[in-house]
Amino acid sequence: MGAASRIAMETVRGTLRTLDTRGSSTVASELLSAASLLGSSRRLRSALSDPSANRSAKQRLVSSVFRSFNPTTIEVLQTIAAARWSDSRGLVAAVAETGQRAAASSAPEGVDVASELLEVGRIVASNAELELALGSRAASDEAKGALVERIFGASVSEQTLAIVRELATRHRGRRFHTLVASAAAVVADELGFGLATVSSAVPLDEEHTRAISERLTAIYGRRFELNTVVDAATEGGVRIAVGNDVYDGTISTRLAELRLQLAG
Amino acid sequence: MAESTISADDIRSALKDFVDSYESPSAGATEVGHVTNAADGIAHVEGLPGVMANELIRFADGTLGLALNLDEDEIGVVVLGEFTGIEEGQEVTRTGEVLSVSVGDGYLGRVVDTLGNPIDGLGDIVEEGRRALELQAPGVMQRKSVHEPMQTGIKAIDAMIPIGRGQRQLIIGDRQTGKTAIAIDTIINQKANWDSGDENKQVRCIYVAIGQKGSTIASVKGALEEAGAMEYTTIVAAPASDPAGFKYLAPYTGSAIGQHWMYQGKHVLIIFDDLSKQAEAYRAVSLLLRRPPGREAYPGDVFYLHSRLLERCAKLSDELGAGSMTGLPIIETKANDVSAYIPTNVISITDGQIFLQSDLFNSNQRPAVDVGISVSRVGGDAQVKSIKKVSGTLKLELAQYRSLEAFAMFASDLDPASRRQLARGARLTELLKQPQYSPYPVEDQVVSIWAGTKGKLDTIAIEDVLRFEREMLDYLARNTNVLTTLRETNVLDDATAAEMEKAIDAFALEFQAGDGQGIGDPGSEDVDSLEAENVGQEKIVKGRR
Repeated sequence: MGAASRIAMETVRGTLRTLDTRGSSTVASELLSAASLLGSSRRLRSALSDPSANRSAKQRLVSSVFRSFNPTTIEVLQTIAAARWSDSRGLVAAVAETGQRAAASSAPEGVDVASELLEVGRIVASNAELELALGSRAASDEAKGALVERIFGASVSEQTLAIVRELATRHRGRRFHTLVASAAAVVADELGFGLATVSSAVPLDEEHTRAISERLTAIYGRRFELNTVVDAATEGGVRIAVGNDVYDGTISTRLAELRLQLAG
Repeated sequence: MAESTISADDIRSALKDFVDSYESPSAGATEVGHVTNAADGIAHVEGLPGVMANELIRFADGTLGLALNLDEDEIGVVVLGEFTGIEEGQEVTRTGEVLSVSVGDGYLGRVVDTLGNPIDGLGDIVEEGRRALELQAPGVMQRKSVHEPMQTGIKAIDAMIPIGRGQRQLIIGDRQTGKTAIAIDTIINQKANWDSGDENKQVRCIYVAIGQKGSTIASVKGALEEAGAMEYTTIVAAPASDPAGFKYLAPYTGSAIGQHWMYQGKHVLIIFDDLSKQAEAYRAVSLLLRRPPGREAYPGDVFYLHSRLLERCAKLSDELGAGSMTGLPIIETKANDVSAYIPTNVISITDGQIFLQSDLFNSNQRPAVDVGISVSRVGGDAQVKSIKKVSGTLKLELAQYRSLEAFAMFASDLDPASRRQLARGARLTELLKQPQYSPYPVEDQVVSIWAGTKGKLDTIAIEDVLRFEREMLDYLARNTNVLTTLRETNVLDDATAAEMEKAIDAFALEFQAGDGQGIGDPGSEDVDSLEAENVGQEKIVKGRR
């Protein structure tokens, strides 16, 4: 993402906090479908991200294209269109991220969108054919949407499904499970916590997970949701991944290090 | 055999001890990234937000890489080693170190790769410390003018294109013109200095082989070993089979090893054989990293690639120990075109150049140094006094010879003076011939060139010149102490010159020419007087109006 897009994203996030997008699942799904629409129409996203175009003209364009949408959604889209973006991808990513944040905050009590997204990512990563199908450049958006709904429709919440459907239709030729993982990080951020992936050979008990989250909170200064993975290949010990940081105390890693030292 | 008594159990228990001594590092935070694509020795990595430019990173299979391009959301990495094990999605970790190499006297007599690992099977190298590869060259205040000679042992070079310690002298020429031979002769010529044991005389040599055939490197090593020169030489080998990343870094490894010695106040000679292949390797890396190509498809910073490398060769000031590093970069031209991009770049960076011409080489003038266009910009101050005294005339005579050479085919119609000039030039050129691996000590060079410029060879047939020279030096060594005096004082005074002249004249009478005849009369500088009718005097006569 270019510097202009990064700055625009910050300002858009700031403006959105003042708008009441919370609690409304309509706004979330409308924003996500707007992202899909922008993803499929090059002319529309180019017009809206053109830095030389008149700001009010862009806002008029938004209100005429999306006139059937909720007024709050239109206001959000107008805020995004008014900002200055490095390229059109930045604008589409901003609309999608806003939609994901809205979906996260509109989820009813007891629904954990972030965990559901991570679960979806795990399922997709474990099935190569599904991963290929969802990342395919050839398949139509409708077919991919239908595939997502058929597989995950029954098991995940409405909000998660909307996010996953949008990801599947907008991105082509990308690894699907990495897209889902980054969406999960956005959702977790919106809800005010960080995501950490903890891998261990045996399931961790309550005491260990609590100790790990407390330690992570002490380091990063925020609450952490642990995504626990049981991976027999680690042999023993724990591996904690927070974004790009990894705390690796697994036996398998130490054995690999020792092997490298012996091979010297 | 003693080795056979080591039982498998001993080895097993030793390995067990080794494994026991392994202390696992406490699991601190490591930054990780993932390979997004890998091809042709280049990998792109996502993540690793804190990575530094030129930092070493480690792929999951233990291969190292060098972070060269830091982009917004990915980094371009040159893989240092086998890149077949690197695959998409593989984890990559930071090491927190910039690329460095171990340094120290343990390197003498060894053959190492670009990362400083020994490849000669002689065991580990004892390291005195580590030194970063990309280190700044000494600044202005840390330097001193070049004033000590670096003898190559080659008459043509030491007399007319002298090299000083701390100088960068480019050796440039087509393929197969003897570029490497000059470099190897220079290393071999440091043997006497090394044996003297005097730190101020000793020169540690580094030969960096870039993109050469493995067999060529092996034969260079063989030649050095045979001459006993390997004990003060390090070979940094990045043969043609190495990935481009290794080839482009090898000169920096060599100069890091050399700089360590230079800052200890020692003298170092480093040979980069050759920088055109390094530039090609860097071009390959840059194009694969998608950096914009410039002239001849080299990247924009190819000048900086060479200038920052060659600036590290320096003569340090007395406060810093007065060490020096002399650089002999080699450039291979195509069809004698010295105006191509890389040759012009390196010519402008260095303090002079030795041109080797394929025509000269093919006409058996070896070393094929074209003394007409070769120059040394700083070496004159560093030249030994005795040879400086005799080389002035040599340069002049050869210059006159070259200007007359075009008329050589009309030899019979020329006046006696021109004919004499041509004969003298032909003998001097012959005198500058020298076989490979046979460097001349300074005193021998002084005597030979003095004899040539004083016309002592004029009566000798051209094909006998080199034999005359050899036997003359032999005669002087046995019958006089001229050579000893020259070696010890390095000054050619009138008394020595007179003694030398006497001895050479005496030897000339004994000399048997190739056709079995004695030459009778030794040559001399005397010039015949003009005949009476050619001497006249113009007078200005005041006429009447």
